[in-house]
Amino acid sequence: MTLAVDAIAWHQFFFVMFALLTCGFAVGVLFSGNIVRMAFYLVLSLASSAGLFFLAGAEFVGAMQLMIYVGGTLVLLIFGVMLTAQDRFISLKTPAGEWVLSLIIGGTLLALLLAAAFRYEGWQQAELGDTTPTSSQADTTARLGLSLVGVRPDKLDDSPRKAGMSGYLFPFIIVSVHLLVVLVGAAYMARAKKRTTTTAR
Amino acid sequence: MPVDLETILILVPEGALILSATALFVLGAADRRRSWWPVCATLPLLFALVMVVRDWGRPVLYSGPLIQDATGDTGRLLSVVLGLVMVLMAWRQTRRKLATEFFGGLLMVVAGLMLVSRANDLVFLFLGTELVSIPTYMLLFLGKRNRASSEATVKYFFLSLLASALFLYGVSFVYGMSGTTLLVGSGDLLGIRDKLPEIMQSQIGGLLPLGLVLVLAGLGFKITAVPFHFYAPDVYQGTTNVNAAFLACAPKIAGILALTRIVVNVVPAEFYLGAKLVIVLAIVTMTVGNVCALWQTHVRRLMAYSSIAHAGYLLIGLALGLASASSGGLHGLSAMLFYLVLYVVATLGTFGAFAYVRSRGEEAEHLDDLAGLSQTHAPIAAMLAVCMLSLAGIPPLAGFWGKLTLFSGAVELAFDMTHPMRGWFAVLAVAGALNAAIAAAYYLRVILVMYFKPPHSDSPVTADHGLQTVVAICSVLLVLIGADPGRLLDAIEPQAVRARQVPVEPELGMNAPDGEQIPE
Amino acid sequence: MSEWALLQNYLVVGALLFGLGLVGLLVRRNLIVMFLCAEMMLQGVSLSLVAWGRYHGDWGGQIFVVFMIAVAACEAAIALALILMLAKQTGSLDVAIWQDLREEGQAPFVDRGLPGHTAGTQKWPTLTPAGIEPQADEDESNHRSQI
Repeated sequence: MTLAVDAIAWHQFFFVMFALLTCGFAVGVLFSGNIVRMAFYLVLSLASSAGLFFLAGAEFVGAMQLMIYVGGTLVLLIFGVMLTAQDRFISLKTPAGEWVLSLIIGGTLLALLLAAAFRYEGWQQAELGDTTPTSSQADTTARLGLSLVGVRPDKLDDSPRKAGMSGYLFPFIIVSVHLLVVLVGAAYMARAKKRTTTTAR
Repeated sequence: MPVDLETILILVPEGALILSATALFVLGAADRRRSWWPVCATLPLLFALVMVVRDWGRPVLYSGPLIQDATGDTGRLLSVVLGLVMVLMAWRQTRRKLATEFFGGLLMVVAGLMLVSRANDLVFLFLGTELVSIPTYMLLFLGKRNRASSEATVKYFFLSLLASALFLYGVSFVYGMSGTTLLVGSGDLLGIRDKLPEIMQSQIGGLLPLGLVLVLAGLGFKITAVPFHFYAPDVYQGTTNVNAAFLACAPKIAGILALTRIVVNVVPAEFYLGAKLVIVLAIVTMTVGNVCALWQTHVRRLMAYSSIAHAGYLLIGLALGLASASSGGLHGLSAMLFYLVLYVVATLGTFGAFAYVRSRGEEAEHLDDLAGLSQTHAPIAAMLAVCMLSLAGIPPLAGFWGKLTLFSGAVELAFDMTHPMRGWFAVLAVAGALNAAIAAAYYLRVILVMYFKPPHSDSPVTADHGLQTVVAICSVLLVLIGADPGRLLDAIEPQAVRARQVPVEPELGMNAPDGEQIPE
Repeated sequence: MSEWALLQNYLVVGALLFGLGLVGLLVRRNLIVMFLCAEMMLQGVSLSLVAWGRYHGDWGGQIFVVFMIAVAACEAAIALALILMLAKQTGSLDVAIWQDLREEGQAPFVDRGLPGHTAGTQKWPTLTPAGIEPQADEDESNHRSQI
């Protein structure tokens, strides 16, 4: 019993910690004047939001977030920052009027969103959100993986239309097609150009 | 069996397009001459066309993340035709060195559009719209490489990022309300549509307005609805005529189809706030588009504002579809699809003609570049005039019937004494009629320039048969549809009604009753 | 169940991230920073999707986030290529230089009230000094370069 109480307390602690880190670094991204720091703050912010994913019982997504988003995508962006970072345009200030305008827009939206968020309280089904690592969560990860190759284990028995539920194989294929297009497009865009401006058709 | 066979079978055209696009990307690197690649892009499109026509009018079928219904059929046919026309337009207009990238990207976009038109799952819908927009960034960039083109690409890319973030946030609330990514369920499998009426009663239903606003904002960027329209004139101006034609059509088809899927097919009829929102959006959009178009002198900017105005007309159809579900009629949806087809055909024809005309070795840009076109190139001028008149909605042409179906739907609801929103639709109908009158002014101005201004010393044109063919096909189509609009409407109409019904079993869709006909 | 794991907490964090990202995207003028802020918006969406998924006991939300991460990677690649190309072409990442395309007769946006270059006041990340502090040389401290 005491063990369970301990677990709850730790959960609270981690949630508050990760939430504060995420939001704090996000504020840092917004108000920092230095682009190198900005990019680094974003890495930290997203890494701590991976912690929030773990706390919500989404281990697979949390791991993906850490490995692919933080480890891959953002490191790529930091490369971009470093490749273009020259003091000439490293810090660009924005006129105060634009700040006010955007803060009004962003603040209005935020107020709406927060008003919406504060209406709902508990998790509906606590069993899936059990915070202690159990076999059921490992199962969730396996299920996610299976559904990406086209099997929906949760829909296999209970539905008469089980044949219709084909998991997420097609979205998986389409995402790979996205990546192919991006590969071609990025290679074309970023390649060194010699004759391009002169070859008007 | 991880994936069932019927899902694979109804995805054959999309699969063929994606595979051949991949082949184009990969094999194109090996061939330096690259003169026969347009043919390679045409073949899979023709194959897809045959498949789509063969599948036309099949009974409604729910197959996992996909749905097979009238909206899907119309959207698929329209996308394939768009692809074919774009190949014809770009045949000689793209630099040969870039042909495989351009045509590969085009095939991907067509596949993305076809997926969006069929999507019955939020994940699928999102990936489909992204498959439209990601190759679009590339195509925009491939057009030409100068400062204006770079600026157009930057603006489009960043606004599109913002749009997809807004759309995704809206989608997250839609998902949050219902707890499923399936849009319309079948059998025991409940979708968002089936759960929403119940959810609306509960506390969590308060999220629907928020989600709807965000989704409308995100997709509003794609269809250039008004608060989110400001990029369109700049981007169209900065790119080539061929790319502008593409931009005026592909994202708009994607946006309208996605709105159909996620709003019209899902939101319950009792939710009038959605319809009111769309009506306000429609009125503002058409008014801003038409009024701003009045003093444009750059042809692509003019067409950009025209496309904004047409987004407003399309939103009328969306509002009709949202509001008329309770009163039984559903011609709002089919009127919108009908109008979309006509808009796409006329726009492609117009941009084809603009690309055909040259001035001083460059593409036509200024309205004065078209001066005296009737004397130098009478057939092109006549066909461009047909497209313009159709866009303006002058009676014998197809555009008139499109506007008539939309407005008559609004008027019908306005006179429906029992309908709670009749006042709104009355205002909408009046605003639409006024806008049609304003719009005629600037379309007629283009015709006046072509017919009554003296030509420049030299008005050379490209000897591009592809473009000639495109303009000819589009204008002939507009005249033909204008002569017999009922045929196309009937092809779209009865099925659209079926799409709205929730089949308890998939077999039920087979003997769905025909919908009521549009009064003419 | 712990009260700190409530849905609303996740929604609040998600909304904060989204709102901050939105303000950043609207306010910032550096193309890379704008893109970073867009990523932050997407992160807010991911958080609320995961939270909703857990609220309903459905893992469609998690799948959605997986695909979002993949698409965000695609967009990052495109953005990086675009930004590098533009930086090479123009030597600047300021969005305000992209205003050739606008309405006829509309005045261009110009910076006003900005004190020229701010690079001089920039604080750069430095390594912490170790060992004995060197004697301050008055001559050197007067003529030290700004960066």
